[in-house]
Order: sequence, then structure tokens, then C-alpha cells
Amino acid sequence: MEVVITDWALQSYLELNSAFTIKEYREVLRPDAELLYEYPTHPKFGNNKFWGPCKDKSGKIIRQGFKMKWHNIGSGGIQLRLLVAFANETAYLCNAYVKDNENTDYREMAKLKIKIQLINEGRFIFRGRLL
Amino acid sequence: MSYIHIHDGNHDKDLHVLDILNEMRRVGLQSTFFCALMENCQRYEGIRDLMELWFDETNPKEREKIIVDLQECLEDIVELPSKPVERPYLRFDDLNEIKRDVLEFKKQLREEVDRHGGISELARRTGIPQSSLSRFFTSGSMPRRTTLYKIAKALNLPESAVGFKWTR
Repeated sequence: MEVVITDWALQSYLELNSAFTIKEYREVLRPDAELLYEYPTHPKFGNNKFWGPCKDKSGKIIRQGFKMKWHNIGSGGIQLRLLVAFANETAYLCNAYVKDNENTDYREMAKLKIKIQLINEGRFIFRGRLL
Repeated sequence: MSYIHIHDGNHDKDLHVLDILNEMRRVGLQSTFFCALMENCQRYEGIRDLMELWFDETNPKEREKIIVDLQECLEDIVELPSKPVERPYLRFDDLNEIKRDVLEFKKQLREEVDRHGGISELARRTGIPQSSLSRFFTSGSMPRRTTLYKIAKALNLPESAVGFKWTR
């Protein structure tokens, strides 16, 4: 499995990076994201507190869309989410956001549907690979 | 809005989209914005989802966030080329400095905007929703080159005023 950093992921990092410490990024967030190289065999992908399929507001599963979840990150104890799209044996890191309420989740799920569609159409900006 | 015809085989859904577009017009969103929605809501389910979230939302602040998201998604849909584009990798250790540069650049540009009537006037001239422009100036993400050009054109600024190395 390849892991691609899209420009969406990069831009969301620039918006978010004061939400967590560099230590948390290096010791928790990045190593967890690197587990995608071992998807789906690594046991953490069986833990629904860490990983799960994306669903829209109506509860419908979003095909190819998954989220990685962290709880109590940063000094504010935020809930952080990383949205991942799978296509062509590749995991695309799409967007990271602070889940501050259900509305944020609904909006992010709608946006993810669009990103997945654009990725499937080959319309995305590649910013590198993880590792 | 009798000139709008949207057909995706589901008459009820078509009517709901029209309701939403009418409501967007009623609250003063610019025609360029909801015309772009109209063009893309059939093809992109996520656009329809965001439009429905906006329609169902009663909190004005939440509605503004949805408009920001819609504008951002429309820009992706319109601007992304038909093939993947490879941009240079950025070193993690450089990102904090890049963010500082971005915010400083946006601060200076905002001062220029304020000298030309402020955000609401810029929204009127560019057709970009006011909430999107407000978010643009406070966000640490890199500005889109196309947005910078729209701002330059609207305010009659030279390219040098919007030249910046960290764009997307």
C-alpha cells in the first residue's frame, strides 16, 4: 500500500498545527498514519476507537472513505480526525480536522465525498509520500 | 427562478435543490456562487450534501462555515487539472515558518483590502462569498493563485502586490 500526501492534507496541516505539539506529531500522529503501510493487517485497524469507515449525515457509508481518530490531543484535549481515501492500492491522506461537534463531521464527510470523486478522476495535487 | 432546469431523474430532489438555490438567493448570496453550485450539484453528491446541510441549518455561524466549504469545493472542482499534479515536497521542519509567512502575507494583503473598502466590498467585486474571504485572511493555509488574481483584479492592484512564493 502506498501512502500519498495530497495538497488537501498539507493545507489542513498548516491550518491545524497549533492544535497539537510537535512531540505529539512525531510520537503519535505520524507513526499512526504510517501504519497505513500495514493496512489492513495491523491490529489497530480493528479498533473502532482508532479507525473506521466514514458515514454521511444519513448514516450511509462513504465508499473508499475512512477516518483515523485520536482523542485528547494537545493542551485542549481535542478530538482529531484524519480522513483517508483508498483508490488504486493507494491510501490518500485527504484532510485533518478537529471534531468539535457533529456538524463539523457532517461537513467534512460531504467534502470527503467530493475529494474521493476528484481522486477517482485523477484530479488532485500530489505533495509526496509518507516516509 | 423559472430559468433553472435541473434533472437527475428524481423530481423531488430537483425541487429541493431549487428550494435551496432560491433560499441562497433570498439571503443575498451572489449569483456567481449559486450558479456554480447549480452547475455542479448534479455531478457531485458532496455538493448536494453541503447544500442540504446549509438549508437545514438555523445557526448563522454554522451556515457561514458551510458556505466557506462550498466555495472551497467549487474552487477545487473548477481549478484542479484533469491529471494529477506533482508539487514539490515540503520538509516538515519548514512548515511552521511557511505558516508564519502565509499569515504575514495575508495580513499585509488584508490591509490593502481595507484601504479599498474592506471585505464586504471585495466580496461584491469578486463574487466570492464574504465568509470565504474572511476565512481566507485568517487561515494558515496557502492562498490559491487564482484567488490572489481575483483580488488583484477587483482592487486594480499590480501583480507584484499579490506575488507570493507559497501559493497553490
